[in-house]
Amino acid sequence: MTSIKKDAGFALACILLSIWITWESFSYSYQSSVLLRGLAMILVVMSVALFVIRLYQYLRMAKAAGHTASFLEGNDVRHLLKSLLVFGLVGGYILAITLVGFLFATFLFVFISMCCFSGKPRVFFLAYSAALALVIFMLFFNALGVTLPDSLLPFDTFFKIV
Amino acid sequence: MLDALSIGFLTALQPSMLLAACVGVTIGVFIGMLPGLTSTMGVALLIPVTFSFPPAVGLALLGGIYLASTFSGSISAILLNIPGTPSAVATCQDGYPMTRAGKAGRAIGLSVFASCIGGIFSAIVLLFMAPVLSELSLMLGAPEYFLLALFGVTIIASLSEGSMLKSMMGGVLGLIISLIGMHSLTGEMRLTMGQPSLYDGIPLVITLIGLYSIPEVVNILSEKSSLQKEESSQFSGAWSTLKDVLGQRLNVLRSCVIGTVVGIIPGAGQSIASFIAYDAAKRGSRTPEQFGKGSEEGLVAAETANNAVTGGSLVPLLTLGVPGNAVSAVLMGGLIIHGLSPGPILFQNSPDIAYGFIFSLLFSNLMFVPIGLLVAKYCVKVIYLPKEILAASILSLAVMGAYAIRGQVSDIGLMLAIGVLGYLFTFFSVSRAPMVLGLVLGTMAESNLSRALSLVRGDVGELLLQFVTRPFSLALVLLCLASVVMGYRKSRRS
Repeated sequence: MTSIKKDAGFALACILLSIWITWESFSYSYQSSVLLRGLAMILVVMSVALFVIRLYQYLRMAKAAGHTASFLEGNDVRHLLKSLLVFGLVGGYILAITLVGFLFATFLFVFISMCCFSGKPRVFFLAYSAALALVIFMLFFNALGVTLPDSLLPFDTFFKIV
Repeated sequence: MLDALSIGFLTALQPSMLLAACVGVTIGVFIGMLPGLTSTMGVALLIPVTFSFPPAVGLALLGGIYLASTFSGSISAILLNIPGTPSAVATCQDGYPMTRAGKAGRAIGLSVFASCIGGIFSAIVLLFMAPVLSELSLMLGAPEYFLLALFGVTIIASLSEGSMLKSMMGGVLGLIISLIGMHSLTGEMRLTMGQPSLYDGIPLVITLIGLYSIPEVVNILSEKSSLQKEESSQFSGAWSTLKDVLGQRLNVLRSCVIGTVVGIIPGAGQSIASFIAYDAAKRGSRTPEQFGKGSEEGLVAAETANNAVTGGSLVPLLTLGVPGNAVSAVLMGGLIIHGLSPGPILFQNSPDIAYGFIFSLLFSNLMFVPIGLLVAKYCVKVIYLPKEILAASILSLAVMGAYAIRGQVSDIGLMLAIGVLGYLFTFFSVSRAPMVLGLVLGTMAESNLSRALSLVRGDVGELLLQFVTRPFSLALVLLCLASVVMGYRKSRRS
């Protein structure tokens, strides 16, 4: 029953998104948006169909079972918390790149991530973080010639071998 | 012709050519494994290295990179469910379930041999049938390209795991996302919300990295149980793995043909070929319910087709001077830099270079078998690393890969946003493969539809008439209808 409820939630989100996209598409010229409009309207129809089907199934099952189901299952909360942690760490990584440069940001990101994921800091993590940051830096910026991102404190340029 | 072939064969056997091919294959294996580094980037980054080489040697190096990186995208797809290259998305469907069942080594072994056979087939086709096939590619116009994209859309339904409606919705979402950015003909910006980083649309590689890396990291961190240990040593099973691949003769041959034909069509791409071959294998299989759960047939089909594209994509380049995909466009740049003009003249004036290059592709396909197996033997151990090390490493490589595409920090934010979408897809149990296929097909469908409409001055009736009067268009229309009918009948039966 939870999966049916989730499907209904997914359908509802798609209905809202597709309505917004359809609205937006009519602000563009016909030639630029003919396919976009068609796809957005198809998505509206599909989303409404999925919502109606799943709602009907859910109500029937709830009536037969005599109780409703929650939106989240046992593992879902754990997944959600882990995902928020991952999103937060990557967001912080992006910010750190613009502040202290790629190399130090990567070192900090890898170290903090490993400490958060394992639940306790370890000396090994320091060494691994430094090594991984250096390897990625050497591979992408020195060997492959990718341009260094701009940062407030450009310590990276000292490490880049011209 | 026989003289030219023998000159090419002897050229390819020179130690410098063999060494260049070997080095190219080794580099290509590592490039393809890392999400964010694609065949195109690998070839483009190493073109300057070839300036001082003789043209044939330079081409052998670049050809080796192209072939090997196409195959090695499957290594991270199989081990981590993160496609290393866009062409490995279909491999994730069955490769990763095999890893979870303790058959990672076998999956990679199947991938190696399937890729080798696909690459050899297309190289042989390139060698003997290139001029004939180039005529075929000239017959295809905007209507045919649009219908090919439409045919790809009909395959979306067959990729569904569970609810077909949800999969179709994912596919449509992928098509919509592919339309973000500037329209190819009118230049109008759509759905960019004023963000300059979206003006050129969302690069496919960034979408793949976000869609697969972030949800997989969340899965790794959330898992309580570890993966099943490998059942047997990979090398001891190499010969039996090869025999098993050869035992799927029909599947392999069909996938070779699909990959080569799709490769010949400029702009079609390896992702489309692997999905079409996967779909064909599923429809022709006696156990279609196993697809998506670790079917060896699905894995072999996808890998054979995506490497079969390599030779096919070089047909229009070498015979007409028209690049078949992004990699061949970069290779074309490499040819021009060395003072060679791709096209029919290349075969007349420089048969040693033209045929030598094709024979070196054949040898490269054989070389990546031992190199790929050797690299994979150690890569398999990655999946048994502690989860905190694996998760942090994947995230840092994903961020770097997203940045390396265009050198913009905003692309990392884009990758994160797509990652949130990918997480929501897994939360709601929506398959990601249909969305990827939609992303691949959307741009191709829209640009060719616009082009086809402008050729008939916007007359939709005239365009529909062209769909049924042009022979290749009619064939594609019938294929689309057959695909839809067969898919519907199959879903009714199940």
